[in-house]
Amino acid sequence: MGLSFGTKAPPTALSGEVVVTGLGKSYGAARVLSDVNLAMNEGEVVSIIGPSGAGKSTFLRCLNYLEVPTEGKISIGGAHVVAGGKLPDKASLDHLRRVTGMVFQSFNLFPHLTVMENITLPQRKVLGSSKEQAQAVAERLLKRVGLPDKAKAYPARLSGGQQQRIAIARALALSPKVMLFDEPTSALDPEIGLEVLAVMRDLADEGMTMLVVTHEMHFARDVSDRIMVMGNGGVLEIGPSEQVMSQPQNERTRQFLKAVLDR
Amino acid sequence: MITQLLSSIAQGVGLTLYVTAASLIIGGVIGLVLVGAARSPIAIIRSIATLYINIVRVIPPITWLFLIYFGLPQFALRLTTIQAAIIGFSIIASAFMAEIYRSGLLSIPDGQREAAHALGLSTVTTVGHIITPQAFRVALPAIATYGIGLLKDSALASTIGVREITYYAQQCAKQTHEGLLSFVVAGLLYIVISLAVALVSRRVDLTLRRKIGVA
Repeated sequence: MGLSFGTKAPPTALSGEVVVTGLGKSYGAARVLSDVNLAMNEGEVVSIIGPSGAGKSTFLRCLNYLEVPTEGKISIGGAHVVAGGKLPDKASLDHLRRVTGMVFQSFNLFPHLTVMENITLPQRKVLGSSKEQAQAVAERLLKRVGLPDKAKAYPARLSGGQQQRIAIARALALSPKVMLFDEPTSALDPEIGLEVLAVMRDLADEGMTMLVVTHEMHFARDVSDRIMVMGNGGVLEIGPSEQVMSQPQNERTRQFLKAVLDR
Repeated sequence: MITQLLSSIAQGVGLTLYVTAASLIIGGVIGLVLVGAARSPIAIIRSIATLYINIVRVIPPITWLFLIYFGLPQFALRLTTIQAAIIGFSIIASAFMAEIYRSGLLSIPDGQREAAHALGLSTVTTVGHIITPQAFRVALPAIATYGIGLLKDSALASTIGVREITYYAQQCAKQTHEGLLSFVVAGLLYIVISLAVALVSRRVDLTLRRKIGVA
């Protein structure tokens, strides 16, 4: 399904819904991300795993410019940006954020707005939707994440799992082409995390292009098409999920998988 | 006797409230500008705002009042006592309000701004719809506390002749030689007003807290 390539020779001509080439980030002399390449087809799900400090979240956050990469190129869903250590022009930045939706570890719902307002405000401000349109979309999405009766609730009244599902609905309401998940279940009890993973699994089945930073090895193996293993700010290896889990090529990957799977 | 004193001194309640409320509102608006300036991308604007905030706060309120009431006429600016008091207290309030807003802003987790950015919300929408309402709710108790502080400071306006509570208490004390009683009555009036402000702000705060649970 996905484009697969090894890590030894960086691919020269990539194509797909997501194409990232030579992405890097440094703070002065400190290099936190170097030469990350990734191409994803539409509808593909890629999980990013690896030890903490590997640069997984930094990489993901560079894709919508919550972190500013210092080198490389990003093309997502028709938005193109060449990194240069500062924010791109407003039109490119808006476009990039328009085609990406992000789900955070800490949900980041707006606590002073109801669930309904959390989902409708961005639609009205970013897409210019009417109130009725935005509410119709919100109601449909609330059903989809299994929380149709929570429209009037404030986030503080919801469990972590419910908040995260609302956060997913809020991102989906803007019809992104690619969804970025930054450790979406790390702040949740394992049991509660399952309800979020179930929503993500449905989303993947429906053909959403997804990039997921995660510590959930089952999700990575079962749901994603490919797994990208990161370490030390770079890509250790990337390949079909089953292959990376059962026959990792890289020694560092083997160590990491042994550590997480032997628990 | 007490009722006579009370009815005379209570004449000052209006101006006490007027000077306090006007200064809090004007200072509150200037404070917004200041906190914006203190976070400006332009270094010189940042420095000016920070300098203003710091200078204003270290000069005693009574010095400000004298500076404005007795100083400005030298530049041919004739002010009424009430105008001078409101200008002086507005300047002071602006610096304190700016600090209150700043701590409110600092209490908003980075994730809120990040989520707004990730959703593609503009800076104006992010500040206006996401950051400011939350910061205001966090700042509300501090604003109420400062308002009560300002109410007490407004007594200083009597020194330049504003006919507020303390001014009338002084007059009564002089005329009736009931010094103790006059100022006890004045004190009671301040207590009543402060309690009312505190109760209202506490009620609003609790309602917001119960509803949205902001820290």
